[in-house]
Amino acid sequence: MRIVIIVSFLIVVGLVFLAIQVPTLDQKKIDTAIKEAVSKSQVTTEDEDTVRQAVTLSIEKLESAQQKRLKYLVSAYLVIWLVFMLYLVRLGKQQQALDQRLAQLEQETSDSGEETMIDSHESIDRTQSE
Amino acid sequence: MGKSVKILTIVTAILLFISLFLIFGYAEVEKTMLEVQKIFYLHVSAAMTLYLAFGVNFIFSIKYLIKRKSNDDLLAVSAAEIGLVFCTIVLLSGPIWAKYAWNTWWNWEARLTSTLVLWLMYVGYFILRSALAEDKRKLYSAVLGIIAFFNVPIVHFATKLWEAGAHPERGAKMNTLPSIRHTWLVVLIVFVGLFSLLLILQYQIKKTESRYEVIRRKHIEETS
Repeated sequence: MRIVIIVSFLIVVGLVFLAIQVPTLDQKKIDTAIKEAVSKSQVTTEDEDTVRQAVTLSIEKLESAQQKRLKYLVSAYLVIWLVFMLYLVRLGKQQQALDQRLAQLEQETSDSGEETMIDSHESIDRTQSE
Repeated sequence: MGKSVKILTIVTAILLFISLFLIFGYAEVEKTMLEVQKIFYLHVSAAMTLYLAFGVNFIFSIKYLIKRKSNDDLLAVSAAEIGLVFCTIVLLSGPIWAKYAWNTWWNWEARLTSTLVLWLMYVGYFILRSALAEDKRKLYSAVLGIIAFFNVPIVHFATKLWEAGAHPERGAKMNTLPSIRHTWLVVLIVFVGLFSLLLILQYQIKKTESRYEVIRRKHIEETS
């Protein structure tokens, strides 16, 4: 149970990490691309600045939109993971409580020395281990 | 743990990792919803699995009413419990999708409302079980399990029965991108595997609890 929770938690952390890592274009690549485009379209130097501003703004806008989408995606996966984990923890606790009750019953039956009860209890253990 | 359960666990775990790879590495990014569309794989698979879970509950509730065997009741309640978990997943992941796609967390559209009603009916199923004495509990919850299941086709065909609203009609856009369809099928298999494993686990716990109660009562009778 613990292994499942730890492994799945690591997967979710990985997803969150991926969501934060929005692919970004570095300034050098942007500059090179703008220079190439400007030289091909033969615009003036004043126009080049306007183009640069427009491209930079567009990239920022696109990246922020992508970050927003990834936040929604990660939130949904996180919520689903949480529901599963809570249910698994609940099952684990249920099993633990049952084990305690069985141990208590075993104690009571051994105290009263009822062999037949022990036999029944062992059969429960067998069923549980199956 | 039986051999078949071990195999099922290993297969489901492997498929889970494959499905994560398929979701983030293979499936194409859908052009309208972009990355948010990837919620679809878990959301729709959970919806399909809840149909299955409540279907199992329905079958074993009928079986219980016919044969009156406690094991059928235990299987029915175990399936309902897991169905409720999947239904919760659907109801929680849906609004996140909705907020991005429709700019609202919730609207009272037919599919959403009927899913909420379905969830409430199965919550009622457990409230009923906890409120009644053992002899009545099994009988009445079996009856409620059967009645509640009739909401499942209503949920499924809600977009056909009423105006579709924000939800797409059944099977919409499924033919457009094969990579999305293939990925969704693998995720669905993973969810069915998870459901089966949880059902086995829950059933075993409930069965042991039930036997424990019988022995405990017998022990109290004998000692008093």
